[in-house]
Amino acid sequence: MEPLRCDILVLGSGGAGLMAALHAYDADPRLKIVVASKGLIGKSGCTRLVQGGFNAALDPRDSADLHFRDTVAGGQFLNDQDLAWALVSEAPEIIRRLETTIGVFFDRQPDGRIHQKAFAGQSFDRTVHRGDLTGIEIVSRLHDQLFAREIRLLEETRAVDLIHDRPGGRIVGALLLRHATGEFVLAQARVVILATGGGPRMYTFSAPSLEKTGDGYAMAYRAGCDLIDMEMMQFHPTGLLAGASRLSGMVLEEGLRGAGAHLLNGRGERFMARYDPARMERATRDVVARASYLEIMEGRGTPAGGVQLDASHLGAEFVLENFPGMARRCAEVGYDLARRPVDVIPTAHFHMGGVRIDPSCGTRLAGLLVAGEDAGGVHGANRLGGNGVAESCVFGARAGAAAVRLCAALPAAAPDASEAQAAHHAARVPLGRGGGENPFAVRDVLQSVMWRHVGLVRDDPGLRRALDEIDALEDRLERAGVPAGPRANLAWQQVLDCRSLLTAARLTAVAALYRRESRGSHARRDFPARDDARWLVHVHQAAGREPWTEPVRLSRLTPRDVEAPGPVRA
Amino acid sequence: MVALVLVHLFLMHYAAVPSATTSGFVAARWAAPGWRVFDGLLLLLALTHGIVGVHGMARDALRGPRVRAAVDAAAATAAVVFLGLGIAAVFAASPAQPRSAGALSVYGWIPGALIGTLIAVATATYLVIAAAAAGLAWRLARGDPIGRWTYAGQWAFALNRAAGAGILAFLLVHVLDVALYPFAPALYDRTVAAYAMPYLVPMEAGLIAAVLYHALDGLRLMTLEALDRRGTALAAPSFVVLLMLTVSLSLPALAMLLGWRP
Amino acid sequence: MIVRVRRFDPAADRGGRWQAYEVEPRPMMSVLDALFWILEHDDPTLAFRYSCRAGMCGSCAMVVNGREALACALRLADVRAPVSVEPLRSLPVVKDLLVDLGPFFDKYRAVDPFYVGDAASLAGPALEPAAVPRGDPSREVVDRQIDCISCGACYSACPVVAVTPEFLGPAALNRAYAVAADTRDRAGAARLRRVTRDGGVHACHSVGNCVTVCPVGVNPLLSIQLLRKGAVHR
Repeated sequence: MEPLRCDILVLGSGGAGLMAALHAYDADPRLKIVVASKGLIGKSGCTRLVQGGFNAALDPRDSADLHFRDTVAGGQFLNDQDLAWALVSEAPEIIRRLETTIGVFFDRQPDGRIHQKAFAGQSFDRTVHRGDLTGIEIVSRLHDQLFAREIRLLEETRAVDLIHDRPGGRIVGALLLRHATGEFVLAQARVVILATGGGPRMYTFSAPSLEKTGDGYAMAYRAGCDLIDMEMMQFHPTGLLAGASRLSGMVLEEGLRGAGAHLLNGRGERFMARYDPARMERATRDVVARASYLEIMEGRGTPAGGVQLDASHLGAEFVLENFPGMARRCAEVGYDLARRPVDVIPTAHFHMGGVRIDPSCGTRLAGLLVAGEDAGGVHGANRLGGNGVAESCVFGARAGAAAVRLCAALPAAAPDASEAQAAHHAARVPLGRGGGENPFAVRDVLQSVMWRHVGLVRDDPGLRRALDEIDALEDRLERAGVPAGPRANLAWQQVLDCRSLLTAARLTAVAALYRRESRGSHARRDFPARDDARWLVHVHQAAGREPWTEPVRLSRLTPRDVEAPGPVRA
Repeated sequence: MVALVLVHLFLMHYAAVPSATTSGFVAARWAAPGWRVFDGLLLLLALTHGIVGVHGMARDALRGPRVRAAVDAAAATAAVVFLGLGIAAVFAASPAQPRSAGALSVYGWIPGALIGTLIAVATATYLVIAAAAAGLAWRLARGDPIGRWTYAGQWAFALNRAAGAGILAFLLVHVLDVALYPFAPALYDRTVAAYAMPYLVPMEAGLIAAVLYHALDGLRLMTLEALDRRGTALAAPSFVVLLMLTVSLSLPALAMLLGWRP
Repeated sequence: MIVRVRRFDPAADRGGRWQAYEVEPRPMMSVLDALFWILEHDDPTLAFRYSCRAGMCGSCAMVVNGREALACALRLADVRAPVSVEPLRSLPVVKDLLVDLGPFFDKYRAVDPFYVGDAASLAGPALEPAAVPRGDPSREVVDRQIDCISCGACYSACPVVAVTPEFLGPAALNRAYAVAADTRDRAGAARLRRVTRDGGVHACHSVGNCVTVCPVGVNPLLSIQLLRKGAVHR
C-alpha cells in the first residue's frame, strides 16, 4: 500500500467532484487537493451524460420560490426542504459562475442572454442548456479548469473503502485502487468528499455510465453513515431498447413526448389512455414509466420486449430539426425515429435516496462530506428533469467550501492501519482463485432480480424474494474467482463493482419493503395510495441496526400550502 | 514557382523528350537571355523549396535538435553549392554553341558516373515502390490492418512527400548534367542521350507524374485552406480529382517517352 | 463471428500479438459489446476502457480495421470482416486495448486549455454572463469546435503526431483555437504565442485524418488553419 497525504480527498470527477475540487482550491490554493476518479477524470460521471439541462431561476419573472415549489411538489413532499432550498437559491449564482469563471457557453436567446427551455413539472421555462449536450460542455470546461490549478489527479483509481481514524469517529482517508497497476494507495486526508455517483446499474435497463455501481452508497454504509429514501429510484420512461447492446437504457429525451409523440404497446394501442386519459403521453415520468412497465409485464409488449415510441406522425422534417441528437442515436442502431416507431423501455435513471447530509454536505461522520447523487433528500420521491446537474454543481461547490472550513478545524490524523489492511485483504481475495464464480454472471442475475422485483411496481412477496436472491448472490460473490494479475484486471474490478451493487441493491429493496405506501417513484401494488398521515417520513438505514423513520421537516412548505398557495417561508 | 515548373515541364516533356535536349537544343534556347533568367530563377526557387522540404522531413524523422540543425546546415550548404554550379552553367555558357571541347571534356568518366547515379536513383525508386506494394498486398491478403493507409489524407500527404523527395534527388543530378554543357558539351550530349535508356523510362514517367502531383497538390492545399470549413470537407474528393489529373496529364508525356509523337 | 484483438502486456510480453475470438453475434451489437462478450464469456484477462457506452465520454476510442472509432458507436455489423481491433496509436499501451492517455493530455494541458475570466468575476461575486446574440459571427466556428470529447482519435490518426513528438496534435490545437477565439476570454496574446511555436500549428501538414475520424464532427484542421492564418486577433 502506497501512502498518500493530502488535505482534501475528492472521490469522483463528475459535476460534484470537480466543482468541489475547484471551489476548495480557489478558496485556499495552499491546500493539497487530490481528485480520484474511477474512470478518466471528466469522462467518468453522469454529469457528462446530461442531455436536457440545468434548472435555475434566472428570469426576473421566475423566482427561487417558484423553483422550490416545483421541486417539492415534484418530490411529493419527501424532500429535505433545507437541501431543496439550498439547491434553488444557489443555482442562479452557480450558472453565472459557470459562464463567467469556468467558461461554459450555454445556448442564447436572440438578444444574447442565456436561453432557458421548458421541462416537465415546471411552472416556468428555467432549464439552461447547451443543445442536447449540456453535460459535455459543463464537465469539459470544469476539466479544463483543473489544468489551471495545482490539483493532483488520480485517474482510473477507484475508492475501495473509507478509512476511519484510530478511535473510529472520524473519516481520515480512503483505500484507493489504481486500475492500471493494480496497486493500492492509502490516502490520508483531513476531509474526504464522497461524490462517486449513483447506482442504477443494479437494473437490467439503466441510463448511466457503466461504472455507476453504487460504490459511494456501499462505502458510506460500511463506514457507518445514515442513508435515507433508498427506495426512491427514478425510472425514465423512454430508454432506447437496442437489442443486446449495452446502449439499451440510454435515455431518449422527454421532449419527444412533450412534442406529441405517442407510446404504443405490442398491439399498436396508445395504452396511456388506460392509465392517464387526461394527460396521455405527457403525464409525469413516474406515471408513464409505470404504465409502460405494466404493459410489458402483462404481456402486451413488443416482440423485442418493450413498447414503442412513435414520432412519425409529427413529420420527419420536424423530428430531424428538433431532435437531431436523438435521431442520430436511433439511426446508429438502425431505427428511423423520424419515420418509424422506435422500441423503448423504462430505464433506471437516478437514485433520489442516498447519504443523509446537512446543507453543508456534512454527514454523521466527522471529516466526511457527501455531494451529488451519493447524497439523499434533495429531490424527495421524484426528481425533476434539470435538477440533477443543478444538484451536483450546487452541492459540489458547497462541499468544496465546507471542506476548506473543516480543514482549518480538523487536525491531520493517521488512518487506522488495521482497518486499511483488512479492506485491502478483502478486496484481493478473488485474485487468482481458480474455478470461482464468474462476477459478470452474478451481475446479470442481480440486474434481472432487481428489474423484476424491485422495479417500477413492487409488492411484499416480490421484495422478500429479491432479498433472498440478494443473499444468495452475496454468497456466490464470496466465491468469485478472477485472473491472478492485478494490473488492468476488469474481472476483478467487476467483483468490486458487484460488492457495491449488492449493498446498494439490498438498501433499495429493504427500504422499498419498509415503505408501505406508494409515493413518487415508489409504487407498491399492495399499497397503491399515498399516505401523508403515516408516511411523510424518511426511511433511514445504517449498518448494524434495523431501518427506522424520521419525519420530514416541512419547514418551508406543506402539502396544504400547495393546495392554497402562499409565499414560501424563506 | 508553380507556373515556372509547369512551363518547364511542358517544354521538356510535352513539346520534346529529354533525350532530344541535346547541346544544340540548349544552345538555341540559351541564345535568348530571357530563358537564362527563367532557368536560373527556377533553379533558385526549386532549391529553396527543396531545403524547406528537407527541413520538414528532418523535423519529422529526427529527434535531437543538434542532428536536425546539422541536417539543415548540410541541406543549405548543398543548396548553395548546387545553386552556384547551376547559375554558373546558365550564365557562363557562351551564347553560341560552344565549339571547343570544353575544360572538362578530358574527364570521360563523368557521363558514366551521372548515368550510374541515375540508374541508382531509378533502382532505389523501383525497389521502394515494389517493397511498399508488396507489404501492403501482404497485409491486405492476411486481413491485417494497414496502419493509417485507410485514410485518403494519409495517401495525399505521403505521395506529396515521396514526390518532393524524388524531384529533389533528380534535380541535383540534373544540375550536374546541365553543368556539363558549358564545360564539356560532348559529354553533356552523351549523358542526355542516355535518358532514352528503357530502364530509366519508368522513372522519368514517374518524375513527370511527381512534378505534376507535387505542384497540383500544393495548389489544392492552398485552395482548401482558403475555403476554410468547406475546404476541409473537400479534402478527400479533391484528392481523387488530383490523382485523376495527375494520371491523365502524365499519359501524353509517357507516350512520348515511349516514342509516340503528336 | 471472428474478432481479432491486438493483445499486448508490456510487463509480460516482448511484443504484441493477434488473438482471434469467436464472438456470438447479437442484435445491434457494437464493437464495445463484442469486447464485453469476449471479456465475460471467453477471456477475463482482456483489458479495454469504457464508460458511458453512448458516444458521449470518449473513453473507448480504438482502432477498428485500421480506422479510429469509438467502439461503442460502431456496430459490428457495419464493420467488414475480418474485424480487427487495436489500441490507439502514438500512445503507450498499458495493456491490450488500454492506452495511457498521459501524453495526449500533457499536450492538451500545454496549450492552457482553460478559459480565463474577468479579474472581477474571479475575485468577487460572479458577473452576469456576457450577452452574446444567437448567431453571433464570433461564435460561428467556435460553437462547433467546443464539442470535443477528448477521445484521442485524432491524435492517434495524425501521422505528424506519430513522427514528431513535440507536435501538440489536433485536439490540443483545436482547444487552443476554441478558447482563443472566445471573445469572453481574457488571457491575452499569450495564447497565440504558445501555439505558433515549435510543435504548434506550423508543424501540421494538413493531412486531414483528424477531420475524417472525429466521432463528434469537430474539425481540428480548420482550427489549426485559422490559427495559422492569423484569423484570431488578440
